[in-house]
Amino acid sequence: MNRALTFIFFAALSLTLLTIQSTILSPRNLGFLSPDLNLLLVIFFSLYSGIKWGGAMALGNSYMMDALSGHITGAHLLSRMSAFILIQSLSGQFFRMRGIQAAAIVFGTLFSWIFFWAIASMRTDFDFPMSAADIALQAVVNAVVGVPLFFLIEWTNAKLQR
Amino acid sequence: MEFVKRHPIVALLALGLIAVQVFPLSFGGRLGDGQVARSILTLSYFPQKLVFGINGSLARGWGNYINLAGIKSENERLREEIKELREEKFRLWEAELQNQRLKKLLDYKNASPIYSVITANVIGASPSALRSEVVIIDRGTRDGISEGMPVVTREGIVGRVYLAGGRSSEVVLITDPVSGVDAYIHRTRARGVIKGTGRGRVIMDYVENKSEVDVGDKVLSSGKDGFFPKGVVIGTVMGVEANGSVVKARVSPDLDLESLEEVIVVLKSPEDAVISE
Repeated sequence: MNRALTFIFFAALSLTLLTIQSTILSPRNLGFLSPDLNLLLVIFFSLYSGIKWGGAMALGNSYMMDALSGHITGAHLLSRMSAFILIQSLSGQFFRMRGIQAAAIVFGTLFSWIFFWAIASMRTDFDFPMSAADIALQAVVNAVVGVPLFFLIEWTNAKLQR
Repeated sequence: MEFVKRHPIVALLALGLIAVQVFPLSFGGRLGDGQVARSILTLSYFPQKLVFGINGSLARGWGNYINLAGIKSENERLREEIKELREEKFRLWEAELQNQRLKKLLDYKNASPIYSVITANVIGASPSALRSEVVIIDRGTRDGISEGMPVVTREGIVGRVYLAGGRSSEVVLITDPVSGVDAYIHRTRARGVIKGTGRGRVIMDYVENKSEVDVGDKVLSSGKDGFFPKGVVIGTVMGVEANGSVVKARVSPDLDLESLEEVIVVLKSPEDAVISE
């Protein structure tokens, strides 16, 4: 496996997904029907990469999310790294199995939002923008988009490595 | 890293503890000077601009196709309109000459605009559902934009520049919960603060007397907050409710913030604003 090529591929993919999510698939346009492509990428790293390499890529992507969404440096970074660690620790047991990727995505999305909600609920001046139904809806949308996206990422990476 | 792998629960608890410490600070403002964030903004400018260009071309192409059908009748109507406008132009020219003569008589000095402005395209928006009241514009420090500058359109206030990168900037909309604009009711001059509540909504809080605000009143910026120029339209009062000793009014922004395409950045530093107004 060519590590430099893999790094370039995932860095470019990270920027591409961030661009898509901040333009045509922005939550501003589509609301909670917008798939969280960058969270999906973090979940992909937690399932298919080592903790060091995948962790570094997930950290970079989460920081970029923070930078482009105004104000909240640390919000995405901390919630997504927590999701990354949790899924990574569970992936060896059952999340790596075929057909169970969707479960990992749903779990990762729910965990990520519950993490936000738990912290935001400590503040009185911040209205948490999502209801339980919104979170459930986004988990389903992420699962529907995520499974083919994972396949596409794996397939493209394998092609590049040949 | 080995520790994280062996003890994920401890690592999670540590991250949670950091989050509890960091979040209260970072909801209201960015940590650090944001130099890395500015670089990321610049890095994302090029692909965002590319998508904006492609979207624009597709929309124009589709619009041209749709318009082609009615172009002949439109052409005839426009010819008639041009004829009428030429006549009106002549009348206005006459009036302008008369106006100039009268101004000279009154020693009137032409009012020059107080601030320079620059137009910008909205090329992106926040990628996060947690904070979606943020848009990205294709102008940055290269164009003279700096953090805190007000952003408006002809219809009203949009928000202010939160982070200025080299080529693009983040604009926090007035509907964002961290946004605040000092404002007054046009009819009664009653003061209050316009605060964002998320999802495209704003309220006017801290109005002192209930009789001074009513449904249908226009709300304008007062210029006293040091960010926004005085007298820019914000919206219309849609509902009023008493909130203890003060009044809270539901305000509908006159401007459709959901479909922003072009905005105007007022090149005004927040520091000198209060003094000049």
